[in-house]
Amino acid sequence: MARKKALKEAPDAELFRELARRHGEKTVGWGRLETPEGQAVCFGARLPARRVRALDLEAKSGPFGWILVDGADHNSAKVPRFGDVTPMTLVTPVIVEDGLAGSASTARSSRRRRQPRRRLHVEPHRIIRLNRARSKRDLDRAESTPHHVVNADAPSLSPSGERSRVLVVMSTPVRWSEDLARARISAELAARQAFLPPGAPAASALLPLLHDLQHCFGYVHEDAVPMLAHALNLSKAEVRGVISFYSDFRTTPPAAPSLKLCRAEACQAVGSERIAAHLQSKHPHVCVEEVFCLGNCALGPAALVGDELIGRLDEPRADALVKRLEPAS
Amino acid sequence: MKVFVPADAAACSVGADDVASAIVKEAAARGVPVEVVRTGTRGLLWLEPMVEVETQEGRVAYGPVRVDEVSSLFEARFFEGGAHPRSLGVTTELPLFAKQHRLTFSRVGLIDPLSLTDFRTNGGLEGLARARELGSSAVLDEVLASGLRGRGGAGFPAGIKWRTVAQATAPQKYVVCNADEGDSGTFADRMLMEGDPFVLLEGMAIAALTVGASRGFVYVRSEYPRAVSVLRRAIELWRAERLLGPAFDVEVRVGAGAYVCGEETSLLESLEGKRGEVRAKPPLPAHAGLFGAPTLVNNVLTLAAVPFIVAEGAAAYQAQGVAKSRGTMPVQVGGNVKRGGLFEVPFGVTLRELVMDWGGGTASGRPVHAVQVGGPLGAYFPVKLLDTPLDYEAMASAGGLVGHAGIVVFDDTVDMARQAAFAFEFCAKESCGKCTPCRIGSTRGAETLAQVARGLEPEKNLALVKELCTVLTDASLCALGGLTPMPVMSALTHFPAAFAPRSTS
Ligand SMILES: Cc1cc2nc3c(=O)[nH]c(=O)nc-3n(C[C@H](O)[C@H](O)[C@H](O)COP(=O)(O)O)c2cc1C
Ligand code: SF4
Ligand code: FES
Repeated sequence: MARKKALKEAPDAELFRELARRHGEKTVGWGRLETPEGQAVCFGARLPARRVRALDLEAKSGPFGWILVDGADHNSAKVPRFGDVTPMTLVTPVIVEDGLAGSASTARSSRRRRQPRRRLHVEPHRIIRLNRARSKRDLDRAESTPHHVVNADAPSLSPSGERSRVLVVMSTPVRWSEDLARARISAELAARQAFLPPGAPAASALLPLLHDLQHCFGYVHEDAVPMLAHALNLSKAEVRGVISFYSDFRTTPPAAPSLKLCRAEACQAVGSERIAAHLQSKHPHVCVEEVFCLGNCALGPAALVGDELIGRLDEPRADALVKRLEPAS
Repeated sequence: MKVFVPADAAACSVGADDVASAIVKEAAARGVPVEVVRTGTRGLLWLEPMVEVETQEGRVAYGPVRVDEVSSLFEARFFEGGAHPRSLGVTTELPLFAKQHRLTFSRVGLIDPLSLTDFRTNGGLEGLARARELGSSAVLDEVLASGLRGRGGAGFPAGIKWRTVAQATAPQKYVVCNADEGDSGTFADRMLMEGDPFVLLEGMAIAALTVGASRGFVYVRSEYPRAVSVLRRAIELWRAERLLGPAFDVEVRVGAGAYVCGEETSLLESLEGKRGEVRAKPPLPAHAGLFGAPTLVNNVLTLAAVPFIVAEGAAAYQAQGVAKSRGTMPVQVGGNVKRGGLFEVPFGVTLRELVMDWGGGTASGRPVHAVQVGGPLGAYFPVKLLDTPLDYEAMASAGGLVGHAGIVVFDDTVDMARQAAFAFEFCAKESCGKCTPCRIGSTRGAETLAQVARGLEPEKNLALVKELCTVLTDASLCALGGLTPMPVMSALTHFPAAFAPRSTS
């Protein structure tokens, strides 16, 4: 695996590892992405920015991994040019072209290698620009961006200009893979067991394991059941019993586009049922899951799209939301 | 110049992220050196996105700010406190803020939630330091003397629970923070975890020290992704500075969409990796909880109240409140209300004050018709009972409960028969399945109420509903089945007209 080697040698390998560690990803810098041509390994991959273009495309749900990009030239109309560390909610998905597969090599060398052209369909739901993230401290700041917007007058980035990087938090679940599932199960289990005191049963890691698999693949594949049972010393029936008990866990790939609409009392009081009916009649193709309370009861009707909470939903806002979720051709 | 913009999920649900971005962008374009700090929310949610600026008079607020108003804010030199149509004045002098007693939420909305420096300079870690000086039994005395009762719903005295766990002898004990916050109308736990996660860790560290626990879990519902990530970062920061103590560590576990997992024994089952089925009590979790070990289970707000109590002394906390309900309650007012938000007030304030004076009546402008207090298992109060004070005993004698202090306002367009049916449906959906009345009776209840609505044998059917309620009350292992009759019966009792046969047209 030449690419794997390349990543390891990259000056940022340490940062990737740190990132991965913080997010509980044991597959340092690695993962798989579903592409029209199949799967691609792309966790924590770094690639030249001009290969990242903002484009509209299929929305998929469930946050997944990161790509670090050199020199941001994504659609500047949509991505405000500010900040040295700054959070933004990016509604425009990007297409990442070529050379992505774990390549930490430079643009030049990847061009030389002339990999087959790949187009990865990725929908980031948050982009953090990391100007000169060279240390763990920089990462610290970037990571805490939900609470920090620092530095208003950082030099704006030119496509060809100084090195800067974009951290893309993607939201594309990957296609089911037994190998990847097995790797994730053993990594997640090890992490949970490291915390437990001696003697505490491993089976207590079942929920985190299921969350992790769903996070990665978008659902819990039937073939994961025997793997989980084996890893945790449970019967398959026990594992299935747990999966079926919790409404979060799904056993089939998620429909897209989808959103969770609050149907509990405080939102009922401000017309959530009306919004539900509106969505059903106007946008029947949108999968509207019911949930009971999103903790936004003073600003209802509320919905959750991926990790994003939406408040004060009325018909126009619901329409706009659907439009945003829609694949734009 | 510092500008503060909330990063709280609720504030962001109405555009706080966009406003923060717009401010940074505008500042850059105008060459104004502005530093944007993301905070929690002050809880005045109808004013969100609320932007604050540091001035000589203190922080001044602007809100609600729309993205397209950012440029005019700069024109008005808001970053120096300049006047603007959105000016609200000094934040702490806003009437609905000044009237509060922010003991638990003192830092929420004020500080950068993940800045240890901010936390320390605003009184953080004082409770933990004092707890280390005092030692276990003196801390127990403080918690007992404070009169603090569990904020998760049942209102059980925290000190007694702590003492039980402290007195248990076992090689391993656990502290579990219940952050499942499933009740509709409540968001205080979320607001606290996002706005001041360190205070929760401080409370857990004090608890662990006091009861002798070496591991802690925070069980956060999956509907709160932002709280989960803030809390995880907070734990990392504490670990790095070794603030949790030499023998204590905390991990966040995420729920999976089951309301019943807020019930403490169901929560423990879930932590053990099982179906969230409620356990029979005894044994109490304090004796045999997680993995059979003595376990302290407390709500987020219970644990977060402790640092203040230990730092300032039980008397300071005890001084607030009435009768057997001591201290303050972060009340959450939501639903159809003009000024929805979180108000931390002493116990004893009446529902009317909360709904009318604080909340400003309905958002729709129509008359208030019903107010549900304490989540989906809480009673619906009619307007004539709104003078009931918020205190555990007074609420109970009015046929209701305080619960997690969520207050949901409905105007006169509400169909109370529908709300009663919803209570049954919710119970049916969320039942863990152990008790027959809860699992099956609830569905039966919803169907029967549907028949009532259609005018089918209303008297016979209503009698059946009442009977079902009695069975649920008597034969349920936990409060999900046991308290579903509360919203149903309160609706029947206080709003009988809603159950009269409808015209079929
Ligand atoms: C169906 C049901 C749901 C509950 N949900 C919660 C919850 O979301 N959060 C919570 O703190 N307590 C909840 N409780 C109460 C807990 O069982 C328990 O009393 C509480 O966690 C104890 O903490 P406290 O003494 O600090 O309140 C629930 C109880 C029941 C019966
Ligand atoms: S009352 Fe309902 S939720 Fe509670 S234990 Fe019985 S079946 Fe489970
Ligand atoms: S009831 Fe809808 S967010 Fe709480």
